[in-house]
This record gives sequence, structure tokens and C-alpha cells, in this order.
Amino acid sequence: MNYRIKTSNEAPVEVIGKEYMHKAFADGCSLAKKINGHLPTMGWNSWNAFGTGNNEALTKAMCEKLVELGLDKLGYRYVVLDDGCYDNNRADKKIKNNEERFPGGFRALADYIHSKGLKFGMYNDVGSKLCSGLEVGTCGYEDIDARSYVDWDIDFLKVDNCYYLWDNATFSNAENARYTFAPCIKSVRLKNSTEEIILSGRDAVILGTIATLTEDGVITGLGTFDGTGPFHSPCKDESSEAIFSFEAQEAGEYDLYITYATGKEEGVGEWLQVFVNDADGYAYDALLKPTAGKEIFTEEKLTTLTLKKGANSIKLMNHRRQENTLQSYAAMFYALKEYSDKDIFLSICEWGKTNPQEWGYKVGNSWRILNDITFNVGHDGDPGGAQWTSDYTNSITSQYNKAVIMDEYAGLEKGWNDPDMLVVGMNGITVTQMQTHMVMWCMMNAPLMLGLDLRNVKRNDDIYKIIANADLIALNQDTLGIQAKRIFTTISDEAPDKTYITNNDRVDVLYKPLANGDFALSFINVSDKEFSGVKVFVENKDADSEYIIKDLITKSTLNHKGNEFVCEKLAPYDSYTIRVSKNVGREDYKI
Amino acid sequence: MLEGKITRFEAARQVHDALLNIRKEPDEEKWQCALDLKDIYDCNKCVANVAQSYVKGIITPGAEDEFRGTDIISEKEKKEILERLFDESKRQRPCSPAEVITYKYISYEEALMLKEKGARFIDVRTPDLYEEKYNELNFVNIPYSAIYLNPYSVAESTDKDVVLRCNKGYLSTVTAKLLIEHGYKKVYVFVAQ
Repeated sequence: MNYRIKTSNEAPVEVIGKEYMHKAFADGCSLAKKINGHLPTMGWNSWNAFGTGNNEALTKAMCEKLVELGLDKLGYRYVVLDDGCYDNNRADKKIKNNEERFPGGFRALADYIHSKGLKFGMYNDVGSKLCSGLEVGTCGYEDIDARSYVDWDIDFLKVDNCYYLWDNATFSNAENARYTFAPCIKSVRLKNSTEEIILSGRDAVILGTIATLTEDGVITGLGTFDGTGPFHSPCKDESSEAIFSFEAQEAGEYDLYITYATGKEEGVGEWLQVFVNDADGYAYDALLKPTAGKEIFTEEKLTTLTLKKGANSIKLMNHRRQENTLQSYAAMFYALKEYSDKDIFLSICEWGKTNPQEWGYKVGNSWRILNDITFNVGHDGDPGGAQWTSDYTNSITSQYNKAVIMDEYAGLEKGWNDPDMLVVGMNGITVTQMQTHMVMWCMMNAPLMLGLDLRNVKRNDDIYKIIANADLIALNQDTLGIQAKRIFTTISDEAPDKTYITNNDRVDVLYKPLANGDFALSFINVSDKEFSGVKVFVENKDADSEYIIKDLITKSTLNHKGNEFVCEKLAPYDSYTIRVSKNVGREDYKI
Repeated sequence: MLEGKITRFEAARQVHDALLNIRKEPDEEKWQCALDLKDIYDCNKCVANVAQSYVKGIITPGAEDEFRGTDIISEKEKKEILERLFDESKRQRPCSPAEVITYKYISYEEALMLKEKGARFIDVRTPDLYEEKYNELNFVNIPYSAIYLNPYSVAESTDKDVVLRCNKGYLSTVTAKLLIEHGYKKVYVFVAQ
């Protein structure tokens, strides 16, 4: 079977198989040839440290430091060149190295990296250009680029979403929203020689939470939320479909007419998908003829449908925001598979825009959940800056607040939520905040990608102790592969594991089961205040369980009886993170 | 650089790139005043490009308080941008000391005007106390308890005009303070009875 997808810059690709349709997102099946079972990736990425200013000498220096500091032995093995390493244009259709910054070429660098026992990662983009503006995006070039990447012996590819042609992504044409939202729908008419069925927007059942029915009976907003900013819950705010149920007097063909108005903005587009009864594919999946405005309606015959006698249903929707993006990533994925048997990791970086927690597992090893964690990246001589809190995505807590309720989207048979790279070592945050950031990322099974100039790190300095805490890394890399669940938060009684909370005035408690039967608990003070006496009860059949508790930061241990765990005092931004082991007949766990 | 028909976002990207790689000027660490541009987050990933080209006084706002990133940049503006990029004396840095943001009480007439501007109208009472009144303003009922948990659920952006109402104004002002603490810049309390 040929899995290849041919993208073009003319139009979005057709949805080429059932596995790419929105309704397959919940089936739990990764695309053919995807290898699951990997723990979160660990390594170093050039972006937070050097922005577009990375070069060969710096990269080699980082490799040396990874080995010298023993970080490789702790699991930090992937060395990833982010944006800015290519020449501005293709040469003979191929992407090539920026000769000034990477004079030795990528294959030689890969050989160097591999000779150190490390793995080599690179970066590209599903659009026409990279975010830095380099005109070497993979759209339409997946085949050629995959061959280059295989020649360069890469182990990992991070793929960004700027200049994307089929959605209103960063630097894209804002009017690309026309591909990702349905038009406003006023009515549906079905007609054959003997019968005419007329349905208005009011007759529809609207699924999901993004679409609304106006007072005039018009359905608007059929599409998918933009999850790039921190404004939507990943668990609650859902894509919408409008379902019209009706009776047909006889089986046979009916012409489908829709009264609609189009726009080119978030919420009102031009692309409509029609789904009839329980068919395998879409009955219609294309742009409609634009109207003169989003309030100016027109009726068009779209297609002819085959209906059953009696009860039928028609769904109107537009899931192209997700389907287009999935297919663009799948195009690169299968191109790499074509030329290499190596299990090259695919790191999806579409910034949570299309809610990739719903589909990312089909093709990727991880998926970013939001826009970037910092907009103050460093360069050689300047570590850049980060923040604890912000009203957008550029802070540790903005990323944490979303990722912490996404545990059920992650797993060994799927992949990992990616709240972006570590900002440990950047300006603007305290050592305590960095420590808690590391705890959060380890508990949440996030990829651990260092983003600092490792030449500034010395064995046993504050930064080293944070990034080289083997006990915390052991949580992240635990073979059971389960992202921690928030079991308690001081701010709310309702469903702490599913409620999206952006108010940081709180302490959260995270619970993470581990492969050897232990579990980890982390009390995380998200706030700038001191908290005391936060306690949780961990469900256990044995009420008198005896445990050994190890504090994973201070390394102190103590005996504990019962299933209630209390954190007596927690300083602002601090965490209390413990590994809890049964204290009976346990020989496999030494303190 | 800045060749062809390009958007202001694209220009910001090119300017920021030139600042770092040609001019070798480090980023301004304090770019918070760029948050005065109410559309700064619209381009998502290019926030840093917009912020740096703005706080360094190279690209001026396309309209009052707005960057207007998707507008096409004019030839005249391109010329001015390039001048400012390469001659620091021509730059006019926009940042003044941060002003204290507070909420404002508004009348029915002011509320109508804000509705025209696309403001978000929120009734913060619990659903059992909520009453249908001033329906023409399209109030949505989001109780204070829900906003307290998730202040960013109120609007797509913290730059949006947000109008609050309750019974006597007490709960609205508590909510207004909470929203301002979380970065909202234009919060109003509707007091008409």
C-alpha cells in the first residue's frame, strides 16, 4: 500500500483516507508504520539559547558539554538544530546548510554528534517558509527534503507551522481562515421529483461548543477552536457539527441545496464538509462559491445525495483545520519512512493551534500545546529571558496550566504533550521557579529539551542540580509512561483533573503512578504566596499502609503510615515532590 | 530587504532579523509596553518580531493602539523603516512609564457604543440570580466563580473591551479587579439599573 501524500501550494490535499478524517481521531490508531512506545525525548535544542544565531561551533560545544557534564548519561541525547541553520533559498530544489554558520555541512555535523553517542535533530516547517523567513518550507517538497534528511542521518525532526497555506497561521494570509471554517448556514433543502424537504438552522442539533445559532436561525462558527493562545480549555472547548435529522418518503437520490453566506475570517469561512448517514467519506468537501459578504446569503445546489427511506441525517461541518494539518505532517512522516527504516522522531510544532492533542498521536511523538514559552530567546553571550506568569503563552505557568489537565491525551501508545522547551538558565526567573518548572515538566512527561548555553553550567551549580536531578528525570522516563494527574487543587472542588484553571493563586497536587509500584506526589505552589497544610488522600485498599517517602529535591527520607499526605509549608513558587514506596518486603527500591 | 508586497507582520520579522543579524543589536528585555498594541498576539508566533521592532521605535503602529499586522506596508513606510533601522537617531521609542490600569464605570449609552466596537458583555451573577435585562447588549452569564478559576476564558484576548454587570455593582468590581490583575486592559462596569 502506498501511504504517500503529495502536497501542493495550489490547494489543500483531498482527505485521502478514513484515517485522516476527524471521526477517526478518537479511534486510538496511529497511522501505519508509526512506532510507539517511546518515552519523552530528552536533549538540547538551539532555539531558547541562541535563536536563529546558532552555528556549528556552538553546536559542537554543546555536544561536548553534554558529555562532559554527564548529561548524556542522564538521558539528554538529542541535539536539535532549530530555525536559522539553512541557506535562504533552495538550490536545485534542495535545502542546504547556511555556509557561513555551518561550513562543514550537516552530514559531517551528524557524524560528529553520533560519534559522541548523541542523536541528531533538525527543524523544518509545513508551510512555504520557516518562521525565520527562510524560503525552505517543506510544503510540496516533502519527497526531496526527506531524502536530504536521510542523507544527513537525522534522528529527529521538529516541524513548525509558519506560512502555512491552509490555515491562518503565523505569517500566513489571515484570509486562509476560509479553508478552516464553514460558511454561515441558513437552511438546507433536499429535493427530488416528488418530494421537497426544507430544514432551517433551528432544526439542527449543534454538537461541540464553538458554533452558535443566531437569533435569525443561522448557524455560524462551524469549525475548530484556535488553541494557540491560552484562552480555551483543551478538554472542553470542542469542534462543532450541525446535525439535521429528517424523514425521507422514499429511498433514492435527492439534490442537496444549501443557503449560506461566506467569509474569510475566524468563525466564517468558505469550506463545507457534508456527511450523510453513516457513510465512510464526505459527500461534499470543498470550497463553496463566495458570497458578497457574510450577511449576504445565496442558495446553491452542492451535490446529489442518496438517502434511505425513513430516518436520515446530514451533518454539516468543517474539520479541515485539523485534517489539513494532520495530512501536512503525515506527508513529511511518510516521505521519511520512504527513504529510511530508522525511527525518526517527529516533533509536531503547530502550537496547539488545531488541538493536536486529538490527532497528533497518529503521526507524531509529541505535539506542542501552545504558542512559545518565551519570546525573549537568547544569543551567544545573552541567555535570553523567561517569565513565571503572563497573560499569554510566554510563561512557565501558562504552559503548565494547560498541559496539567491533558494527561489522558498522552501515553506510550500515543506520544506526549509538549509544553515547549525548558527555560532553566534564562534570565527573569528565580532558582526556585526553575526547580518547580523542572518538577512540572518531569511529572507531566513533557519532552525535556534544554534551552541554555551549557558552557555556563558547572557540575553542582544551581542549574546543574536542577537539570541533572536523576530522581526527577526518573519520573519523566519511568517505563510505565503515565503523565501525572492533578488530583487536587486548593482553588476548586470540581474535577481537578479536567478543569482548566488559569488563576495561579493556588497549590496543585499531582499524582504519578510508577512502574515498580511506587508513586510520586508533587505539591506545586503556583502562586506568589506561602501556603501551609495542603493535604491529599491517596486511594488505597490498605488503610494502614506503611510507606517510605523520599523528597526528590532534598533527598531526605522518612517513614510514613496511612494514605493521607500533608505538605506542612510551601514557599512561593516552590514544590514538594516525593517518591512514595511501600515499606514491606521491598528489595528492588533502595533509598 | 522589505521587498515586494508584504504585510506589516512580515516587515516586523525582517526588521527583527536585521536587528539581530546585521545590526547585532540585542533584544530589548523590557518590551512589555508593546502589549499596548491590542493586536500584538494576533500573529501568534511573531510576537517577538512585532514587540522588538515596535519598542525600538522602528515600526510605528498602523493605527492607534494597533499594529495592524495584516495590512500591506506602503513604499513610503518601507523607506522610513529602513532609515530608522540603520540610523538610531531617527528612532522614536514609544515606551513611557507604565500607566496604572483601572476599570471604569459606564452608562447605558456608553455600553451601546462599546457594543458597536465589539465588546464582550458579561453578567457575573450566579445563574439563579441572573435576570434578562438589557438583552440588546447581548449579556452572557459567566458567574464570578467560573471567572475566578479561569480569567482567560472571558475573551479571546486580554485586549478586548469587557463590560461587566451584576446586581448592585459589587461583584462586578471584584471581577474587574481580578481581570485587570490577569492582564485585561479595558474593563468596564455597567451600572444602569
